Amino acid sequence: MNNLIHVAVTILFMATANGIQSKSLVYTNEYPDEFARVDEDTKIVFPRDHGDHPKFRTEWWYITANVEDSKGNPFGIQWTLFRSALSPEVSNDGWESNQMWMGHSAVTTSTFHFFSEKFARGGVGQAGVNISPFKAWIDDWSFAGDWKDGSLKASGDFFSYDLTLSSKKPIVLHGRNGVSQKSFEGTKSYYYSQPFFKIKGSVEINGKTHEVSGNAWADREWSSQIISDSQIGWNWLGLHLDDESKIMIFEVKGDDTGSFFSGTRIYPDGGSKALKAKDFTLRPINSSDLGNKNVQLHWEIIVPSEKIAITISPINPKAYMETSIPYWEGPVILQGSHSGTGYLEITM
Amino acid sequence: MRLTVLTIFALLSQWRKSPFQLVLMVLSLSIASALWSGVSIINKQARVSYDKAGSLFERSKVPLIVSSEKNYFSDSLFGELRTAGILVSPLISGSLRIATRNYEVLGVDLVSQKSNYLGFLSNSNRFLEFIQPPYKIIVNDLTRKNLFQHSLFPEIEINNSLADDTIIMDISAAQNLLNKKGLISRLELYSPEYDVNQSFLTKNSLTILSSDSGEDFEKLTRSFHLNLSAFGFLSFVVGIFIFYSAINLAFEQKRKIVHLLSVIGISKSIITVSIFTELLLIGSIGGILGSLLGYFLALLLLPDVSGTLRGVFGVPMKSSIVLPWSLWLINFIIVICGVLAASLSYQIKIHKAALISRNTHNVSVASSQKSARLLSYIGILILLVGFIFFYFFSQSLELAFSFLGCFLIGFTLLLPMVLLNTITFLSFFTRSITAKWFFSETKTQSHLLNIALMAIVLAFSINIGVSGMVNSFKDTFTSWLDQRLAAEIYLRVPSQKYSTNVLEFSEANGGEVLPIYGTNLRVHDYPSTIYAFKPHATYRKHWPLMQCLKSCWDDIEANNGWLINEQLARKLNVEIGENLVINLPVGNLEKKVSAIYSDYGNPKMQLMVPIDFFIENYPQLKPTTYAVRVNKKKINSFISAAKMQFPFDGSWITDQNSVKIASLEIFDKTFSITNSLSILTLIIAGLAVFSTLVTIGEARRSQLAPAWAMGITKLNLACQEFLRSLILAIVSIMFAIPLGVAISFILTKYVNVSAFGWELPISIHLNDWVKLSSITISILTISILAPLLRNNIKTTQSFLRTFNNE
Amino acid sequence: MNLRNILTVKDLSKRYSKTGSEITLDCINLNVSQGSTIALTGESGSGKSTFLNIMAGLEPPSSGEVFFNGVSLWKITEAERCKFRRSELSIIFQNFNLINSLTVWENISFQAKLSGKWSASFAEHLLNRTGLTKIRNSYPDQISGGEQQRAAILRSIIAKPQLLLADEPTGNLDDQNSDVIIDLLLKLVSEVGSTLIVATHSQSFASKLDQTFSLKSGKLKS
Repeated sequence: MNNLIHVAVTILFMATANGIQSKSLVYTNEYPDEFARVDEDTKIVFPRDHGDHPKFRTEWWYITANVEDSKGNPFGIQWTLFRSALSPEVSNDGWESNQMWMGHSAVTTSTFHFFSEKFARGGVGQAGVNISPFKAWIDDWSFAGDWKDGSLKASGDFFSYDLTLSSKKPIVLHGRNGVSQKSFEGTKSYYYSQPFFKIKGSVEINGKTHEVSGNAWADREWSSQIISDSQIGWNWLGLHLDDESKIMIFEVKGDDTGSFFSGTRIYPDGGSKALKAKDFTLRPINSSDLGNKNVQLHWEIIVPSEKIAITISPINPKAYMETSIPYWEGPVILQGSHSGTGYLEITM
Repeated sequence: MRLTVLTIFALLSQWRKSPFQLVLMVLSLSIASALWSGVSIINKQARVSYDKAGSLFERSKVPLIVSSEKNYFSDSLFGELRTAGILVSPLISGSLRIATRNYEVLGVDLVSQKSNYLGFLSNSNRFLEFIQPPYKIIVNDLTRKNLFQHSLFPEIEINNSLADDTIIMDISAAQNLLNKKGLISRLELYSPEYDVNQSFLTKNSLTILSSDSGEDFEKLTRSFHLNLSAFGFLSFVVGIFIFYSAINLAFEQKRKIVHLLSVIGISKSIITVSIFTELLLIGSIGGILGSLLGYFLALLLLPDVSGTLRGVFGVPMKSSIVLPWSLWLINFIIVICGVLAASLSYQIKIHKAALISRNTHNVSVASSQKSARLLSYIGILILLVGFIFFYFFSQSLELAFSFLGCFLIGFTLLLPMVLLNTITFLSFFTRSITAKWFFSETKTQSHLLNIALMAIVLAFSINIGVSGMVNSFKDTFTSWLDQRLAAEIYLRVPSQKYSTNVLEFSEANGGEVLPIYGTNLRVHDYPSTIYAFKPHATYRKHWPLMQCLKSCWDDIEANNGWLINEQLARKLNVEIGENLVINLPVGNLEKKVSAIYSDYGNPKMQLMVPIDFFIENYPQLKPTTYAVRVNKKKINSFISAAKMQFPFDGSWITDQNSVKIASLEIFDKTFSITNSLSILTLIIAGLAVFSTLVTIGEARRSQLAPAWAMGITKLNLACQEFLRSLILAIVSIMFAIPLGVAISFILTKYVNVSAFGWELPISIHLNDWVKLSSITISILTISILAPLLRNNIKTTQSFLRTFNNE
Repeated sequence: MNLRNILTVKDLSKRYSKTGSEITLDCINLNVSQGSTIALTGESGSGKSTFLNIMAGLEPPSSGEVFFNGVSLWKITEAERCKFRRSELSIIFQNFNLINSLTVWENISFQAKLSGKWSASFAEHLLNRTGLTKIRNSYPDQISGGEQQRAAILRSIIAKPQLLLADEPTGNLDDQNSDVIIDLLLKLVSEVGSTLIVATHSQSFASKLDQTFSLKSGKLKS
């Protein structure tokens, strides 16, 4: 695709995700507040809410996976589908649709990191989400199934993967009944996860095929304003501990104000507990291995109440998503009180 | 003015008395122009299809997926292809009329578009303005001025690299404006062509236009269209011939009326104008009828033509006709011009005869010899010109056709002289006065029938020539097919990922698998294809090599020599043993030409390389088509087992025989068109004879009246007339046979080679000559007999009129 | 002079059905004795040509009979009638007497050779007498009207017919030529012994012949 349009569209996504409204966007000048708002009284219902919510400005279906091949070599897999609404009106079908879609996929090993990016307009069958049967797709990438058993497929220039997922454990709602606050100003999103997926299948890199298996984490989030005007990006971690428990932690960074911390502690039976800023510390660790973009890739997490004290380090520090708006996303390993794997995302 | 109108009525009254003559003239014009206009409709239709390929905003550098049936197809196919992993981008184009101007609207999807030809979007605002209401458009300066402040387009951006009257906008806006919601014109294809599932294309009536198609279609099919045009032109010429002879023979009656009119006091100029108008009228009726007939003829032939174009050249063509009215107009004008040209001498004669009344119908022996001699001089001159063309033509198709045309016409013009001399020769063997008279009357008849007989010679020799070429082709092609299709089974998997399974299956079932795949390549800037082959005994044994250096297969398999097809050898003018440099992905390679193989019917140049070397150059390509060698007895069981094992769509696996039959069908279609046109021209020529005989009937009777008065029975006279015409016809046919053979030779050895790049050995089919001769003689016998079967009393009256008139 | 009748016309009528009941010839009776010369006069359109045509066997009568040497001309087949025309009869028209594709010599020999009465010496003799030797190898369209008629007469005479019919033979010629033709015709006819019937509107021509009949309103009067 035309690089310039690349940039244009992604700015669009990031802009809407960050709630930035450009004055020259003709339509939003007139209706700045007409996108749907996150409402704590609205309950999240499945399978309906696996689908898209066109009246909300931003949405995604985000899957990361930590797998190993038969020799124990670690792989990280990412599959993401973003949706952005260009205007708050009801979306038309066909090319007049006001929905835009973007897909990111990646495969990371200790030596390789390959990624791919796709764009599509909504309403024309190129990308979208079906509720029943469930399928989220863009071109021939797809995440399909019923959230208990499913498939995950994507490909890029040098890689492709064809995996199956399954989970017997329930879905985890973050925050309060799925409403997750992101800033001191009160911006929020609907946010739920399925961190218990067991994933397996084949991954092909550079012409070589590997049979892999491991854990996968699916995130679902939608909102019309996720972070506030004073915030500039976030760090996110989704971790699989070796005792089958999980933990999700994020830090939304402000430019003047401090960071907003939040997280969720998830137990092997599927139960969960919200973590507030006072419940844990997330601290970068000094390391000489900063990559070339001064991105903090080594962290320490301490959750006293859960007796967790772990350090995070990336499997491959070069896991930059050199997409139109770049960010760092890659598999990490945990050491300390617990061992395990997980994914780290840093927006810059 | 009134005088002119009255004069015209007087002139037209002639036809009331002999309506049949008028019908003949109009009919001859109609049929002549029907074939001509039918052919130009077909050619124009094809050109429209080629233009579709090239009429992009920018010449398409990527292959296009278009509908093979319509101009627009459902945009849901975009989503279907994308979700199947095929990278495509939609475009919709159409014409929009605003105020009194037509604009070309092009709707694009910037998100899926790969090319950067617009390159104007640099921020998300402008992007959004493009894809959201009120939909910003891109035009050039001039267009913006024309669209000034039109309510449809409040947002306009300038880009002066655009053509005039072209509007670029978002696909959604374009669909609405063009009233084509849910439709698109084409898809740009960014994935490799072979990745696209064939049955998907077939099911949705789609086809892929390869990227260099636009101009290459023109090149490839030029000969085909030239062929059609040549026939159309020939028919037109023959038709005009008929008209010429008809109008000149009707001159006699006209002359009397004209003489009378001028005696009454109508001036020469009014008469001339009236004659001219009358001709225009006749020409118009003939032209209009002809255009209508041509339309139906085109409809009839179009399925065959598009089948040929699709099968042989891979060009999609619609089976329905869309005609711009300019085509009708041009055809009409051509007919009128032909009519006026043909009647030029007639008009001059009338003009002169307005005052002088002299019977000019009775042809003298001396004058007929003079004109025969004149024609043969002109004929020799044209032959000389033709040979000059020949000397210089070297591979130019147009020159080869010109040579053929000159040869044909020049030779035919020798006919009158030949006829006269033959008759004189035959009359040497006679003693009796009646025999002498028979031959002298035959000479007279020959002069009057000259033009019709020349039309017969033209049509007949072309029939012989073309059928000769077709037969040679069929003979060679059949045996060549046997060589090329040496494998027992051919199969094609719907997608690469099934290749391994099918391979394993084949080998498990006793088959040896030979992959067949290739890709486009430009060799010295000509469109060519390169194919991979797996070194195997099959090729050594069967491949139809025309020339081969010693141990050529060893060299080729070791990558020390090129294996190229005849077309490539001819185009680049290389011979066996010569060095040839070809640019491949791995680099510029120079090797000697080790072998040249015949490749009939392929309009493209081609080279074959061993599969390992092919993979080096194109690692990302994988074959989906394979030839499988199995024991002949096991063909059917293999195929049924394969079909059970792999439930693929459609006929993905066939046996050798079916492929041969399909290939032969395509070539039959190609030549069936030429055949139909040939027979039609023969019939027109027969009509020429018929109409001539009818027209000169009255004059002939006045020639024969004295003999009747002297006591020769009418039956005798009729038989003599019949015999005379028949002898002339038979001599003409015999004259035409060697001409036909020569044409067959020229067609095969020169025209075909220029057009297609391959040469066929000539084979002569005597029974074809016999068949054609019998058909022609039958047509002619009817043409000659019919006018003689007149009412007895009418003939008597006619004779008597001769004596009692004047 | 007890000459037999070479030609007898009995109750001959001719109607043209197209124009209704218009009667061209009305119950004509005529006896022609061998060797006589007869003039048939009448105005234009009086039916002279029609009468001659019927007698020549060219045009059938509506009713009545024509006997030629005792044979009813219109009761025999067309082929037999043609045989009569070849050998026993000769007819000269105003024009179009010659075959355009044959030379003068070939033309004058044509009918005689058809009937087997050809004599080259006789032909040569007559050719000399009529001054046509120079043009013996010319074609009809290369000679004058007078020469054409002289050749036509020769053709008829050389065939030695029993009956010679002439329909306005001098109609297209000027006075001087006409006289030449008339004299030639009469002389040759008497030499050969043929019977002559001439249709003419020229009184001077008619006066040179033995008998004169006139056609008026379809009826024949002497």
